[in-house]
Amino acid sequence: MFVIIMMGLGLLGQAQTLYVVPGGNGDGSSWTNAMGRIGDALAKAGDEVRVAVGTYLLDAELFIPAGKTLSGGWIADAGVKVENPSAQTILQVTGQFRVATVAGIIEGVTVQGGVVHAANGGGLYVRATGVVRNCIVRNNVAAEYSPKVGDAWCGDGKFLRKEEINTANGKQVEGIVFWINPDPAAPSGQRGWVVNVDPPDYYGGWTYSEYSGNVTEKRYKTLLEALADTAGYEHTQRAKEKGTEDDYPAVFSCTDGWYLPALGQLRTLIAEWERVEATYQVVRNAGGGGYFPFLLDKASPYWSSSEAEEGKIWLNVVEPAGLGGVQAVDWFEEGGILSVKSF
Amino acid sequence: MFVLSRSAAQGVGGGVWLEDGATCIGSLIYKNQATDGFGVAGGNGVLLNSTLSQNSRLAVEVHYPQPGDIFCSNGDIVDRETYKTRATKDAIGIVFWLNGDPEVKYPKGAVISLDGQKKCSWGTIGVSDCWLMQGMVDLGIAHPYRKDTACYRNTSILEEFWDMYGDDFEAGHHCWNYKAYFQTHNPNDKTKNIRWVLPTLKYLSNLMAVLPKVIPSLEVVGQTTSGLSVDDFVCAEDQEREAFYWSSCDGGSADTWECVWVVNFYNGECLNDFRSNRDMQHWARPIFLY
Repeated sequence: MFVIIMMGLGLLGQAQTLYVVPGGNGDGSSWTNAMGRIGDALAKAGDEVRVAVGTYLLDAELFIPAGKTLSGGWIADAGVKVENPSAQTILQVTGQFRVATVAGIIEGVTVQGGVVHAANGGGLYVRATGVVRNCIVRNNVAAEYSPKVGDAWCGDGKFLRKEEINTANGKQVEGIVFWINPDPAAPSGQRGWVVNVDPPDYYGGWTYSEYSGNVTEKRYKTLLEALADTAGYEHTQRAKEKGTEDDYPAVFSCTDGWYLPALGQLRTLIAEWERVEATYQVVRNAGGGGYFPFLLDKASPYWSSSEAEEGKIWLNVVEPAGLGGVQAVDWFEEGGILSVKSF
Repeated sequence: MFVLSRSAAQGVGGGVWLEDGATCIGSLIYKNQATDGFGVAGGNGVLLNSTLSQNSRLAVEVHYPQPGDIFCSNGDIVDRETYKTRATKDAIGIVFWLNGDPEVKYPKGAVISLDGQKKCSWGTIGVSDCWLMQGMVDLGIAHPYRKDTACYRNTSILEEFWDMYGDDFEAGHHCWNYKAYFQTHNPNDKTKNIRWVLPTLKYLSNLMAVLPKVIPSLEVVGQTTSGLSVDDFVCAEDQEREAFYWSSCDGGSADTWECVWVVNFYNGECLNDFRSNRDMQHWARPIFLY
């Protein structure tokens, strides 16, 4: 009876192993009855998945749970594990995903071709309990997130896709992306522009100063010149240096690094307004935002920081039915503010 | 053994990311790429007896298209300076819009024709029958502007009306049948079948915003391509009424059913009112999306 009990305990304690070979279609119970897909084997009960030498093209990221081992480098015919570098078990990814997340053990495999965006660990992401042993990890990529027009900007440098905005993070949203520099190597400060979700509650003249000179030290006399102007930050700085809040209230209403956009920036913002406003609706539903205009509902003129001829500023009138027109108007006329920031 | 530095950034650890407590032993990690932590990165993980080699900063393509770049007959998109030194002067258009999502597959961008600008009517015969022409998105006054991005659908509908009513629907027909010079002369397989269309309001208004980048490129190309008149593209200040460009978007409002959305390239205004009646003579200029 003692012997029988010991045999029973031995069976209970024996590790259950599953087997995978290229092209296999069995149930994984042995090398001769091996499975063909590593992911299927990992999903089944068992302590270890032994994978024969060969190349396995993955169609989804693998997950190796804690307590489970994925072991490569096995010669199926002989049932032995080899350390010969030319005899590799290759886990190949050609899509835009990681090869594996490892909470258990991965050993003796080659991991290649994994790609992640807005995440870390292109080939392997190893959790606290995970172990990588005797593996080759090559030709994998981890890329940071590429922000898009319509993404929310949280001020700490993080971007949220519209679908990611919720009541937990909605109040952190400070701006919405309305332009992305097509050059992904552009330095910080030139990568894109965001519009403030809580712009200044201002409607009035660009200036009330008697000064009639060139405030921003630049002039854009034709529409084409003004459309090419994207130096809103510099214009805002110049104006603030030239006078006080009483002199240039439109410019001074932009604070905390936000600035009055140049006409080229304002026009770009309005051209992308539909995507911007769609995101703002989500931000507002999530409890964020502030004094943000709904340009689709009412006609409004908005100031740029681009000066035209003496005493005139380029202004874009936005109408419910369309984009409205651009005009160089007297700077004592009235307009609203859409403050922006570069990132 | 060494302790890895912690980083909260994204795009780190091209090969392996180790959480606090994770372990990597006896492995070879090479030729991976990342924004930072090229081969291995993470928290307080353990890296033992492993080799890291030839891991590098994520490579960035040398040139990403920008508004004003020149679209060539073999599919190349080059900037003005590159085009000046290009052996084959085979431009077919100028990039004027790029998708705000750099990873999107289509459309990545939009291209304006080098020539093919024509003053014509949008449509006259049968307007009462084709109010809010079948299949077009209603862009009436009560609706958000520039919602319609379907240049191809709209223009194909206009072409059907051309088939039914003839040359009264000339704007759409003109663009639908336009071919760039190098699509018919020494055509390249990559671009010979490109179909040009009449832009929707969205693309037309985007074009207006980047004219300062497009016009210098038109001038560069114009030095080597005949039949181009940059002067026609932006009118003089005293010719405001001459500056309306047709979109392919029907007016769609009960009050303005005979009107079409246009953009005034004198001041950027988008409108559909008495100034944009379908039978008026305004400019049509082809674009294509890629």
